[in-house]
Amino acid sequence: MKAIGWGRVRGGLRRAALLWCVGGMVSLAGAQSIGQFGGGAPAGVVGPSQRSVAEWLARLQQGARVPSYIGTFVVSSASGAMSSSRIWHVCEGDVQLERVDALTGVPRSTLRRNDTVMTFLPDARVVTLDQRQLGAVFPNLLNLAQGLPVADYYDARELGRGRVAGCDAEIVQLLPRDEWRYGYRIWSERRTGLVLKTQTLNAHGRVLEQAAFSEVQLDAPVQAEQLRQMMANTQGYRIVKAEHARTTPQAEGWQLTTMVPGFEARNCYRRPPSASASLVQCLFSDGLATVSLFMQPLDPARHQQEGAVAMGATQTLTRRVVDRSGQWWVTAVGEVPPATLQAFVRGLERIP
Amino acid sequence: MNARIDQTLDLEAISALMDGQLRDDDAARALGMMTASGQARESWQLYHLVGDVLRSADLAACGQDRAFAARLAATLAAQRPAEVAAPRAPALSPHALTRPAANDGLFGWRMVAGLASFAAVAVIGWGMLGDLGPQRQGGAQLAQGAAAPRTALQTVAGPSPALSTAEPDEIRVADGPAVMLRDPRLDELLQAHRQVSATPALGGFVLNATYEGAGR
Repeated sequence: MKAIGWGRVRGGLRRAALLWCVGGMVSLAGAQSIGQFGGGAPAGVVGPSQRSVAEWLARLQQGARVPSYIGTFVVSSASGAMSSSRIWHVCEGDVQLERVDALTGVPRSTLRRNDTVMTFLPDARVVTLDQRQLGAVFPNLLNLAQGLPVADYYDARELGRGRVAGCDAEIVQLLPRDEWRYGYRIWSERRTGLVLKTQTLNAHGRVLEQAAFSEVQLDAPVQAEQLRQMMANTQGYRIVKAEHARTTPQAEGWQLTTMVPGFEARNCYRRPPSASASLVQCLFSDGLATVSLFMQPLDPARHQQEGAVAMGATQTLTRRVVDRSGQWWVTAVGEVPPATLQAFVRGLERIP
Repeated sequence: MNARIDQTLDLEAISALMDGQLRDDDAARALGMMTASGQARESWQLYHLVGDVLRSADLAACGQDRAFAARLAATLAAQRPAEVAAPRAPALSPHALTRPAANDGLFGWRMVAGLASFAAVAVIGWGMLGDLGPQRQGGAQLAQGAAAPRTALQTVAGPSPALSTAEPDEIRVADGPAVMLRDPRLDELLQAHRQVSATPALGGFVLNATYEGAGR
């Protein structure tokens, strides 16, 4: 009997304790949300000031121009694959210099000065050189904050604050408005906007891939001159220059009869520029996600198995296209759902 | 708790059962009595409570756990073995490999799962996906799953008409460190894609240069 009475008392106590905890959490959350926005916002402003998608992208792009940092970067995919690298970054005016040393896989060191990318492969004593305009795929959002397709196909939702690699971050989720694209969760360094962590999410909210700094030192002493010298010093290396000629799908005999909503045609390249059995790469972007369509003449010995492969957030789809002029091998690659690649490939036709 | 115990019950047998002293037929008889008599079960409960209180006053709260026992029994009764086994059956089909795992936030698990599924996927991967016929069925299933409310897509405005017919296939092929399973020519195209697809807002160049195999 006593035991039951005590049990009831305990139950009452437990409920009281629970209520107290919940109350405490609510008031804590309240205090946090006030503190969260009170700190940075001008006096008198109450509540969050939500940025638009375009404003967020401009901020994130601005974040890539922090004066300098050194950090370790890790990419992991839903299937368990993981890669990491050591990064040195310095930005002087309009010149961005970066060095990315792979810590996993084949030893390599990639150096970039704006659009010039050199990859040193010490084992093979080879350095590859690519001078394509990286920025051409993505217009400068700092000048074009409005009128981007990306604003019509994603919504931004701010998820508060977090901490990544020892840095305070603001978290924003970019939600796709349809199922033609993936969603993103981005941790942006509170002061500079530097992207500290990203997650790519499918329509079910599952993380397909995530990338993050495991540690980062902002305003680190990175010497731009040293990186310049490394790019200039190719002694003992064979230089392999990536040859790309600008072209258009039409000039290569291709057309897209239907376009996936939100995606716009960007650059198109032919490689190598003169060879007859060339590879054509056409790029499409919605401002966040990119799709590459590769077209090449079918080589029965090499191109046998049509199919689809997923690697983290990157999907690939391979198809044979037959027309009167011959047979073609089409490969679609992109950080988009498989259905999007299928739609791209279905819409691709030879110009009669 | 009603402490009135019918003395005709073999209380000694209950006590002995608690102490693990009954064997075979005796134990079976005692258990049969417990099954048949609510009072016997109450005695069992009370004896345990007495033992608990003697050990520690904190354990006294367990005295009215009959409600828990009843709920557990009801739940177990509701879960017929056939029903439990039913959802497992499709997991054996190759198609299940293409479905995303539920252990999403746990990358540690994925490391294990990714490696474990790798061999199977290597066999099925290209062959099965060569023709997307079987995928269509899976697409329908996934579409049903997508109909459930999801936080990530709660604000999705209006369906895209073309999308209902376009199957949102989820093609999962593990990309572990065993690169040999991949087509080197496909890797080359992946690299060509990544070289020009660096989205500045998403980590951009740094991200794309970090991918394993990016430099080959």
